[in-house]
Amino acid sequence: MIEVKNLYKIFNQNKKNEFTALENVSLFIPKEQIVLLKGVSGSGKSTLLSIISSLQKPTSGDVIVDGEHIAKLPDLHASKFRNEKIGYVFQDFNLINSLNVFHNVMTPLIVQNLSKDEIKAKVINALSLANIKHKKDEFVSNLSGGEKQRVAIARALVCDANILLFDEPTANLDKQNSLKFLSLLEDFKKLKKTVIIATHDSIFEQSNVIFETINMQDGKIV
Amino acid sequence: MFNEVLLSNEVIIYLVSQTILLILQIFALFWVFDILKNWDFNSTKPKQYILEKKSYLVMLIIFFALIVKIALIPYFAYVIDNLSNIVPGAMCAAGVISANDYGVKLLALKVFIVFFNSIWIIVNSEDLKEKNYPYIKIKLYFFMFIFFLVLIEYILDILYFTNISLDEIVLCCSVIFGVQGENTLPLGLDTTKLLILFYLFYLLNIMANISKQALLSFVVNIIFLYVAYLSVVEFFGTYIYELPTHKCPFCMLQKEYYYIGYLLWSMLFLGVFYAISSFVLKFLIKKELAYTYKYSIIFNTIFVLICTLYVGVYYLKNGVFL
Amino acid sequence: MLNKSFYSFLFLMLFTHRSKHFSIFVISIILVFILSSVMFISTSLSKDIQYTLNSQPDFVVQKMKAGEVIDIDLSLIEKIEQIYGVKNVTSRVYGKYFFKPLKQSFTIVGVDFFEEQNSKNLKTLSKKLDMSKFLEKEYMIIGSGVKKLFDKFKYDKSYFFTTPLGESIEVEIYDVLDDTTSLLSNDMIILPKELAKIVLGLDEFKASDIALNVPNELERANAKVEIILKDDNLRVISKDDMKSYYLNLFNYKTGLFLVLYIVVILTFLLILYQRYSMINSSDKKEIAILKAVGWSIKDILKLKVFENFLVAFFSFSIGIILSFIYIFVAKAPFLMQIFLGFSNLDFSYELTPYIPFGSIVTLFIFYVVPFLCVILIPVWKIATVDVIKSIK
Repeated sequence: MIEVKNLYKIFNQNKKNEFTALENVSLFIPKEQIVLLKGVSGSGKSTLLSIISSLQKPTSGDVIVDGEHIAKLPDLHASKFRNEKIGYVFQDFNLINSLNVFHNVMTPLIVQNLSKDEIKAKVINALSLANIKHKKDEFVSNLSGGEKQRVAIARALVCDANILLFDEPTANLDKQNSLKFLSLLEDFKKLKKTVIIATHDSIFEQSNVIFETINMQDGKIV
Repeated sequence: MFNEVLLSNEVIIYLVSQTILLILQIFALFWVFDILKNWDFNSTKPKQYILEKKSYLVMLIIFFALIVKIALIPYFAYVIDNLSNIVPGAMCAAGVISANDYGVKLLALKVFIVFFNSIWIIVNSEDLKEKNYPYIKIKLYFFMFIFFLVLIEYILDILYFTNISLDEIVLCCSVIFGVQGENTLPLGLDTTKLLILFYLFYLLNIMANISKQALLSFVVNIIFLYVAYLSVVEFFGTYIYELPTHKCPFCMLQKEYYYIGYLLWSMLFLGVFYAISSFVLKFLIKKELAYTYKYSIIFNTIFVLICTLYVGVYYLKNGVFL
Repeated sequence: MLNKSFYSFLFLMLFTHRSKHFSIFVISIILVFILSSVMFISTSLSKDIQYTLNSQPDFVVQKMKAGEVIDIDLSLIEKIEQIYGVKNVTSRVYGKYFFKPLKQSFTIVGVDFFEEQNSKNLKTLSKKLDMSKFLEKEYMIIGSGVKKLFDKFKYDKSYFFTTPLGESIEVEIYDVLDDTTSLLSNDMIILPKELAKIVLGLDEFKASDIALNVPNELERANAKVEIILKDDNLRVISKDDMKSYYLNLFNYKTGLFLVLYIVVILTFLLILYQRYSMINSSDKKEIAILKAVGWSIKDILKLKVFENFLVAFFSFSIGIILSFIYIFVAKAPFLMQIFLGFSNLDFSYELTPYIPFGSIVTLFIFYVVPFLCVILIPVWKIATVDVIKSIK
């Protein structure tokens, strides 16, 4: 589970363009639940997600994920944590365009000490889960938006991470693909993943697997 | 001071490499000062994260410097060996090394620098394993100490190479290591006593390492290093060359002897290094790493085995000792 | 993390980014090629000269007068033979003969064909040596450079030497030396000793110098001293000194070249640094993506350092291989001329292929160490990019 205590994130502190992205954020996300983080762009959702995944460090406050305090981890440990415990899906997917689908999904596994066969098995498994296995040798630049997202999801699943973070997953999808994404949520629930979805899309109101909706505005929980 | 020695290819390239490394490490030193002054792990200001990144650059430089310095030791031996062709009287590296007073000190310092550098790497990896950089200050001060040694080494490098005279004849190894009847062993030892000491200290080393006595192991190994060096030159080397009067630590690095010298000396250095490091680590970071004891035993044993084997094989082939 | 998948990924990235590395790759190959060609030619030449020198006598005794070498008296031979450890004392006759049409000199070497060591050396030079026929009348054996010049001036079968006493002697050409064997034999004319003395104007009881061997190394220093005492104004040159001298000369010349080349290398390093410091945004993004999925700074550093090392390693290897082909297959046109820079005597001297492992290691250190050094900071910069900022 994920616990956030009194989190502050201030950019350019003590300078003219000081900006408070997160102000005294505290929340608790239980295990194996799907939680929605609602708010318009600029409300601090992405910053919160990036801090939970240790991509950024908070100005003050604590973040405890599965018992581990991750707010001040050194790079080596933070990277290991991110690699093994977190699966992050970005809004622009952030895939490596010069590589194909298989290699993109493979990237998190290279830093683990696995054999080539183990890696292959895990990648194929993740590709199947995300329903993109049939395109595994295709170059990412040739894929559609929905397909790219599925590659990103496969990459997030490949390390068997229990926590999945989504930043505006439906922002770059059409209606049909958004609905497909909703059905994916059911799969995640079955796989017992803890999921946080940062979004301002109202389509999620249709889903019945959402455990809780947390609203954010101007960096605060409302 | 400008002489033709300095214009031989190998010397130029060797000195250029050393210069580059020195410059790199001077840069690293400046960053180290910055980190030491401003490091505050609990700070969440951007400056602290920049410092953490800087410390990676310092790590990278030190790691790179170590690799190159390790490679430069056998290369140094090669450079000196090559110089023996143009230095009058020298028939192998031994003569060139003793062309002036700086040679032997330089070589010994090089080995020590590699030792300390390797210990730094071990301290660094232990530091990274923890979640709060507990040894950051220790390892950075340690680096400053190593840098000081590197600076001395560089000065010695220049002094050594610019003071090799092409006009004076140098001693060759038979005079240095005492063939014509003189006994050059210190403390009035003779070969038999030396051998007894050799095996004795080896056994002491094994015992100290099995019982994990870091300080004892440290002392024993320093002595063992010296005793082993003398033993190889006076006794074991003669079995490698199969000539009772050939007493030289360098010639075994050459092709004729299948480059066994590299293996032999590196096994000795590794064995002594791990034994020394167990004590230094305990002193620096109060940690005991079990594998250092293990490796010390392994490498010292391989070293002693190779030495003994040369004698044994010779005896089996010829039925007598030299 | 240094497992097989890391290496496959590394090669994948290297290949994907090949255009970025291409220019550096090509420049590196050229630089390595030039440097290694120079070094290989010089080591090859110096080995050849050493080999030639090896067949020289251990000591050469010369008589000096006012700082110049003059003819030495043959009576010294007996005195020198008495020194302990001295073997094979012979007198040598040689000198320069001025060839008027071209205003150049040939080297005349007088040979006594019954002296043991001489005929051995000569046999390797001239295979058709039939001693009895050669001694029938005035014959000479000439080097290929000499032959070419003689042909130019239509001296097909013989040449008329003019002695210092004003006489003219016709000497027939017996054989031409194989031009691939030795550098030194190119402008040489071999005559029987007594004939050489006449052509060069030496007195019957004198010689150019005296050569001797001292097989036992340990006795050499002693012998040298004793020889000097046999007469005034004697100069004794030892083979060991000669070897040192030539080696030094080669060292010196290539060393000088190297120092100048360092300027070239420095420029290259500057270009390298500049090139790799220009981290464009797509590269940054790629690395940021890797970090986002869990690659630590250490992992990125490993990737990038290895990537650059591979570029350096491959460009180095190709440069060396090209150099080998250039020197030992194509016989190094152009560069050889610069090196040997001798007289206008045309020659087709062949370098013996000699693979100097030590030189390759030296070159490797010279090239790879500064290369990696220079890319350390750019690599670190790219490994420590801010993930969130770069991903936007």
